[in-house]
Amino acid sequence: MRIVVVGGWAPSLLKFRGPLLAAMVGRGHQVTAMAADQDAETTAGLADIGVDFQAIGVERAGLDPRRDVQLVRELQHRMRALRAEQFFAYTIKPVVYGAMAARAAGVPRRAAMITGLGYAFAPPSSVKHRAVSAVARGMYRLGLAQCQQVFFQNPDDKAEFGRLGLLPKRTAVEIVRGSGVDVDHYAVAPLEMASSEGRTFLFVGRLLADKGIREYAAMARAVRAVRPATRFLVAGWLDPNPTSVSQAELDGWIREGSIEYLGAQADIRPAIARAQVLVLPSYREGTPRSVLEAMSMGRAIITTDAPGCRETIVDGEQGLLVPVRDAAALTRAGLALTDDPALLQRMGTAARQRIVQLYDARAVANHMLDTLGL
Amino acid sequence: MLTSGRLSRVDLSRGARDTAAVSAQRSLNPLYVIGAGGHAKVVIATAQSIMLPLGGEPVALWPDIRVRDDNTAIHGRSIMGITVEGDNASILRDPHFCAVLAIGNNGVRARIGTTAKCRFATVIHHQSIVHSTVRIGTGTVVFAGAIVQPDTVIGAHCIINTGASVDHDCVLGDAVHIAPGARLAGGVTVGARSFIGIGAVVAPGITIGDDVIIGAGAAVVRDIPSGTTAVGVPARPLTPRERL
Repeated sequence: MRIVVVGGWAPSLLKFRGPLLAAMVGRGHQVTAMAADQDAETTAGLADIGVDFQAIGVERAGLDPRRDVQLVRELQHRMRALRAEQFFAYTIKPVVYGAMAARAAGVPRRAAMITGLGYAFAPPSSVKHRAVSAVARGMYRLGLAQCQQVFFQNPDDKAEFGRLGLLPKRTAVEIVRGSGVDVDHYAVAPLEMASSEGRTFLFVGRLLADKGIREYAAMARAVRAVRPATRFLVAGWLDPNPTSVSQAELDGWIREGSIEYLGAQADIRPAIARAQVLVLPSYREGTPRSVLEAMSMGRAIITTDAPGCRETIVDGEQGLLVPVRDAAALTRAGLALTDDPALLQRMGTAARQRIVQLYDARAVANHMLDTLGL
Repeated sequence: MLTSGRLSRVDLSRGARDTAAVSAQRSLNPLYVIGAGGHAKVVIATAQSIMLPLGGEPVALWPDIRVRDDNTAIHGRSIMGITVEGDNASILRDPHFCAVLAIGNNGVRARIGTTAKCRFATVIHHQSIVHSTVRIGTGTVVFAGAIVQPDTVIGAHCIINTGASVDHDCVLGDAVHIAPGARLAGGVTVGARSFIGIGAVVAPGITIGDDVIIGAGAAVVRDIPSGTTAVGVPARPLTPRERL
């Protein structure tokens, strides 16, 4: 079968959907991947697994309707030219415009994956935010109405879409474990318990308020007040997203010594290997990849009892769950793990086991393809 | 391949999530103090001393401290304004609870510490001085005025009592008790479950074995073998007859 997969950001095709694309090829399908901002590495990587790449004019954010109409036309043209039989998209614009284009192009099978609800579903912070949210929801409703199958990464996102009336009755829905994780690439790294280095925590992600970066910084300050040898790493970057922290705020945390800023990492594995615990105090996620990757490498987790996050671990077994926006609870969890190396070891081992059993990317990909009947 | 799908559905059920939500609260709060004697008062005061700078008003690390004791006769009594609420077993066997052992007997602390399934807190008084290079085992308490110097390693479930000092490069086994005002010079080794009495002093580099008792005010200037009791200045082991 001829499959077209559309994503927003080209590197995500390999990083996040690589195992899915490989499984499609492995089952004998011809796969064409499309995304914006072509880069040579992605094109080459996709070619290696037998997937063609086509760059399209999609922008991840922004709301210029003329550009969007152009985009739908372009996608429609390309899918018709390919005589695609299955359409699959993820992230908001590819899902919405792709699905409309796929239908117009006569692609008979259309599926979408909701990878996270993002800014558009957070509690509105301003009039503009409210307007953007309303538009985004309307777009999802329109796009998903063109799909026969929708995948969610966690039950809360599915419930939220249902509550907002974004899921047409005849659309089939399935929950999958995110995109899974490549358990060979993220191999177990021995826990470095060197006392001279102290206990080390790690935050990975964009420095957004919604990811809980401010709670992480508060936790770093408080834990270090009581256990000065503890270290708090941040592997992330400032983002144009409206909820991003400012450079000045980040500089303040670095100057006071609360956090050590690693910046964006091309390969996150060395940072995970340095830390004993990965912390993600996020308010909402699809399925947080950083958590899965750290678990795969045998690391304990502290994350929130929030949609997408709470499913990744069982509280007390692979890590600790804390309420959202609660720096005190986060600090208590941090201290609990700082003071108990045996617990860290046990949780790290349990984390790897859980990943291998439930989140292996190949199993997740096969689950999706089985659901699609591919 | 169907198995993975089935697993997903079972584990992502609402029931599993509700359990997680409940335990997310109880796993970090409260702190259970095990034992309701005089020593427990100091453990409670020490836990209450620890405040977290979280911006604005400092927040207590343990805002909810509870007390348990196996002596049913004192259930319902109040200690430091906290009501003794029940026995120990239900707390000690549940990995979701966090406890600290406020029991003076070193052997009992060691036994409970190794068999219990709950988590243990390390409780270090706000006004003690513990160097950042010191490694302290889980469940150990360090009281007000105690000083622990660089590169010392302290085991689990130890008591570093009021105003005691443990100098550089010492190694303390599990469930050791350094009584108030006792002083360990640099490089001293103390074996598991040993007790250094109030005001005792231990000279540099001395090795004290397991299950040793050093009497109050003793001055230890020679190594002390495991299982012995030593008293006096200079400290000498008691003969079996003297121990009776």
